[in-house]
Amino acid sequence: MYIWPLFLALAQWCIRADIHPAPGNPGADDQREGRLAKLYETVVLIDAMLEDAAIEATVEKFRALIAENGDILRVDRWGKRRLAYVIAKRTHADYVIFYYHANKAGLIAEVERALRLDESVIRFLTVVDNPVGMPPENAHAAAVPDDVLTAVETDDKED
Amino acid sequence: MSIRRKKKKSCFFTENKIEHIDYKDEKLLRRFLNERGKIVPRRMTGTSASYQRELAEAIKRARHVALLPFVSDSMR
Repeated sequence: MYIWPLFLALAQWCIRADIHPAPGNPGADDQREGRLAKLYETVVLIDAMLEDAAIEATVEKFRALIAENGDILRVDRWGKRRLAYVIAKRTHADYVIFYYHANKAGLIAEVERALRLDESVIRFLTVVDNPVGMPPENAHAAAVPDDVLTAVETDDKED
Repeated sequence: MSIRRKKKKSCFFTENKIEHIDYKDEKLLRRFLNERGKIVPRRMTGTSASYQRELAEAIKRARHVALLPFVSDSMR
């Protein structure tokens, strides 16, 4: 009878409340997990003057750090590129982009702190939930502008 | 009607159905910089207001990671 619409409205309200947990709700994190996992992307510029082994070590270090409390979806390597302007007397940098989900609240702060302390990192940028999302695999390799890859020293470009 | 009627400019992003502008897309963003590296106003490019806002944000991010210059006298 006429009580049914009310009942349905209540049910709908419950469902909505479940999807968007109120901020500050202690159980919110558990409910949110998986459903609204944020995609983080961090661009890291590593000093291209370093030896390749040192660059690899840095990448590996941050990969491990993120993987400790997060799920890495992909790590894109753009390789060495010329910077649009000089940063700390560096003209080239190795661009690495991490795409990941965090499984712990303080992960981003932790990673950014480590990035700031690491001397081989000349700059970084973390973007949360970039609406563009993760580009298709190897999208960048196909679209590298010709003028960009002026290699430092006489290195062979890897990946 | 009027003598000074000009060709209607249209928004690049609406036309090409680009929904979101990525700061990593250096080639695309460069089209919207002048030779000094400044963001071209939308009265010149015809970009719609919402895309211009998104574009400005993307360009600023790209500048931070040195994909685009803050200033340059020639675009290389």
